Amino acid sequence: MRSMTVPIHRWLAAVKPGLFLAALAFSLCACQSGTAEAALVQPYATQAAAAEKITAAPTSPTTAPNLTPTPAAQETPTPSGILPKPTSPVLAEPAAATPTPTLATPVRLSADDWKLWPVLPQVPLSARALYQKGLALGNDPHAFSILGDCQSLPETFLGVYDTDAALVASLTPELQAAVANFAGSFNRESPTIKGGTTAGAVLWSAWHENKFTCSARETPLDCELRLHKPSIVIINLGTHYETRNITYLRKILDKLTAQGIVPILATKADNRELDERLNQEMALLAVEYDIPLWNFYSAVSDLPNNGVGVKKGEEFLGEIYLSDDGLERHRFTALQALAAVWEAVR
Amino acid sequence: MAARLLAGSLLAGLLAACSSGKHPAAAVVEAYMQALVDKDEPRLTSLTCESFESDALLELDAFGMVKTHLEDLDCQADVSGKNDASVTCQGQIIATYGAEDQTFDLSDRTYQVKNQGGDWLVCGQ
Repeated sequence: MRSMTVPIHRWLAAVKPGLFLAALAFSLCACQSGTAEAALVQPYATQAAAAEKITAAPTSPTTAPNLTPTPAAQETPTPSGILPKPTSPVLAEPAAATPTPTLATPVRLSADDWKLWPVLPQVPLSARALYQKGLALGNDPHAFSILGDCQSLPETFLGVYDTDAALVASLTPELQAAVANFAGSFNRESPTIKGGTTAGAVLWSAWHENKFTCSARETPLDCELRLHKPSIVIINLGTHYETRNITYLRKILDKLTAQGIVPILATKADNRELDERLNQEMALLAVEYDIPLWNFYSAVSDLPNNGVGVKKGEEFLGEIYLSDDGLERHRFTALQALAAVWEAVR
Repeated sequence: MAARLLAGSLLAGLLAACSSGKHPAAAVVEAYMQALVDKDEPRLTSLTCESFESDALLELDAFGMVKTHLEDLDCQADVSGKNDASVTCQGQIIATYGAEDQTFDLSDRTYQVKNQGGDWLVCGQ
């Protein structure tokens, strides 16, 4: 059986003790599994005004950790207004081990501070309406899709959740519920997942090579939406990119939201572009479209080299391949993100 | 001397075009394909109508960081009127990602090519 144990001791060892309680409170705020209302957040533009307090519902015991970045910048802004370099993400202890706190509605940081965003998505209030619109249009509440490159292929990414019953049995009830709901979507090959896929490729009709019954005039994205009718789409793109990357991402998001599909944007572990602009673009789009973002970057920021390295024989592609630890966190936090969004919108 | 060289080059070009029997509309699609696999954006956009430029750039961008080359490219033009042609091609674009080759068959495409002010340009697909 593939172990899904997250190396808690390593993360905790890297964290300053004084930040732990703050991280714990922040994680409770952002990552309430099984608490849909708490997971929903105000639209980004109005969050600064959203000062009302909500009481988090008691959470059920969980063996899975909540992954959050240390929100040090929120607590101790520097006089200059420049945020300090974020620290490594930390694992909060199981929610049930602490008293139920009174929590403030989560407030999103600006896109410039994307490194400080929590690993798991804060789900905007508008996402639920979008999801319901999609169901009315015929989207399948039991289907999700992925747009991604080779690191989104089923055998590398989420396929185990359809194929490894023992692994699934080891998950928290909330995650098991998400696996059960989306059974069949995890280990599925699709026209929108292929090595080298860029945002532009998802919109280019030839990219699917006429496989999957896609027609020659149909884009991979259109084909996938026709075939699978997803209610949620994880956009796991960016390692392969182009100059007009954000233009294509907007076209993708326009199509998804028009069809009532809830997108989950993802940041990536690598910095192939050298200035991290692609992750920042993802955060910008999350704000612009008021949609969830799974901040995978933060989930691996404590790993050596951010959990990426070169692959033998493909050195020319650079440090883009996830290490074993990186892969494990990739699939686990993706499932957590999917479950959090689904829980919040359904 | 320079004038002679230029005239010689033009003559050689004309002879080459005549000997291959390639219509300029077909030749421009072949040049477009070459620019695509070379990822030569300025060349690509110089061969396209403004209205088709975003489509052409999407094709270019879709290949992002995969290695690409052409195999067995041969295009033929079906000319209608003085300024319009439909161009079909045989051949493939081979895109290599790591050790994996992906083949993009070009035979299922028809490019719309127009003569604009003496230049044949790719204007649609």
